[in-house]
Amino acid sequence: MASSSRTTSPTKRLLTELQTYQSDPNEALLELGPVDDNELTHWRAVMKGVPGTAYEGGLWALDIQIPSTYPLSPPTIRFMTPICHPNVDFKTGEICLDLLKTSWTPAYTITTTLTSIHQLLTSAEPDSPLNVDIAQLFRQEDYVGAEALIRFYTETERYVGRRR
Amino acid sequence: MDSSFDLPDSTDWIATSLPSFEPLEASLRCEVCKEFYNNPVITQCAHTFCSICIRRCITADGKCPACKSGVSSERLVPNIAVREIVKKFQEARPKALDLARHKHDETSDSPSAKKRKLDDTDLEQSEGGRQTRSRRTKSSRRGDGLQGAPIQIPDTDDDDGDFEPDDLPEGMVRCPICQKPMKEEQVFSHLNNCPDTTAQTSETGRGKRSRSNNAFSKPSQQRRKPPPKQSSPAPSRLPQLNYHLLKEPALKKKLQEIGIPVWGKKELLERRHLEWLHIWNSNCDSENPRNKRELLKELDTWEQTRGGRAQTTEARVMRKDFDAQGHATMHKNQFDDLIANARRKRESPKSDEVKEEASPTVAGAPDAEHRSEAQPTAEFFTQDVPKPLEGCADNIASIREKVELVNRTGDTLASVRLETISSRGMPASAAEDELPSGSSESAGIANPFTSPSRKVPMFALPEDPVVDVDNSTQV
Repeated sequence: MASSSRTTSPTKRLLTELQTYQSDPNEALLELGPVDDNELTHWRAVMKGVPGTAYEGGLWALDIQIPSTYPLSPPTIRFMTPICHPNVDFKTGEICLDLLKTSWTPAYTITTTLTSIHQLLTSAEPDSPLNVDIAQLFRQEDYVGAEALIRFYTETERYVGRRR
Repeated sequence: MDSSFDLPDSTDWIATSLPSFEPLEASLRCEVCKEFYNNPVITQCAHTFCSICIRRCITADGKCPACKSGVSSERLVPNIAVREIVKKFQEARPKALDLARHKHDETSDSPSAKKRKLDDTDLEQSEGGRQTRSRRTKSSRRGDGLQGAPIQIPDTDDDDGDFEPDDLPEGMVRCPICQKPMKEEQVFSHLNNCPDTTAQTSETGRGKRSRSNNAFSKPSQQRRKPPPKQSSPAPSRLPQLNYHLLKEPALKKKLQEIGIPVWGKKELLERRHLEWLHIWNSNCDSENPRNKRELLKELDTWEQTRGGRAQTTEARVMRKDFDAQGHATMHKNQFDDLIANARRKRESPKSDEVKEEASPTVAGAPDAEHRSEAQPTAEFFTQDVPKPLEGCADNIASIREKVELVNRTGDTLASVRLETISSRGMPASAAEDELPSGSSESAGIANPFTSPSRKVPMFALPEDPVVDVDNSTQV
């Protein structure tokens, strides 16, 4: 019965997404999956830095909370590893991305959302900053300083190993 | 995790010999639920979704998930072509995937499937290929058959002497069923109408192939005759209600008329009615509408998972309307315990420190003049300080008394100093040598007691650095 699988619970779709990721991994990610096999609505991802940018070689853990209304409402994603980025809060890891708030549509998946976050790394919006310090450097066009600062944090705050 | 579940998914094709089927299958899947379209409907912006998925989305935000333009549930129209394609694709999928996978397995050692195909038209190459093929399983042989590739299946069997390696011109292949040569692109269309489908089943030595023939021709046979389903006249769609204009009793009455449960508060009634609209109206878009009992069962499933009987296990995600005050009062005991624990922890090491600090300050007092020099190093030795006094409870007690005395009077320094130094086991001579210089600094004595921050270095001074300094001055 095809329609019974279309229940309102996000479980089936999350399993499909997980399967999709496993057979077609996302290049932006090192790993992605539920934190715990029994808890399918709490995922964790490790994102890779973009080669050729200041984020090169970085690794960041992300925490993904999936609401029961998923995919009608967006997942809550935040950086667990501190990242120096104008649109990410350094302390809480909150991400300022319209995709995660107003312009979410059910057509997005966890993987595509993480790809968008990965793209945000290279296309920052210093005009709606969550990290004022680095955004200020960008706005004053001190790109050398900004890059140095980002490289510093990318190196010092690199995610290492599996911690739960 | 990998083996614990197995869901069909468009990426299944990636690792096979037909990776180009991945986008094909992906385009036959709903963007919302990521499954094959079920009762696909087309929106006014010309996007296609499962009926129930788009209806839920419209209830949620009224926008098309693909292009975000406004859509309305009244203007959804069943997309019959897509429905047929999905249906047929789903029927063909398991076998096609199976074949594609086996094909991939056997060609994985050769550079590419394409190259193999061309090579096999050559006589020598097909001779070489024969050896590997004899080890092949039945299903993989079937794989060759469907590909329509020039690989000739029956050559593996010894009794298959009638087979002769063909020398067809390039681009020409034989039908795996009737052996008729034709262009490679034509094979698939030919297979649907191959007149030889049943003719060869009785032939010996080709039993395996004929089995695959039957399996393959099945969908095509079905396609010839349209589904004979004669459904009752399609049920009519239910209209939306404006819940703001309806009072609870009126809404209950509406629900009763429809025939769905009426328990719960108004908010729940609204949600249940909305869900019923989704289920009912999407069923109206279906080719074979289900009866109301099945729909009610589905509504019951909703009730268990999301409706009134759903367990609110969502505590992990903090909701927007989270009642922080209520949470705080509810768990006050736990918070209090934690606070008490934290306080206790913070106080206990402090009391130890006080004990240790109090005693040696007096001993350190005379060395006030060295403080400035020794301060930087003093910090490094603070950790070792407790040692000299360890296990000397009596000494500590007597020292305390002296400290109090000093605090009160301030002029009994000499005696205090002498006794404390001897009690700490320091060489008396060294201590006495200090005396003349240290006793004059009365101002330095008063300060350490008033400012707690300065106690630490003083406390540390009597240790090695002091002795070193003295030695160096003496030498």
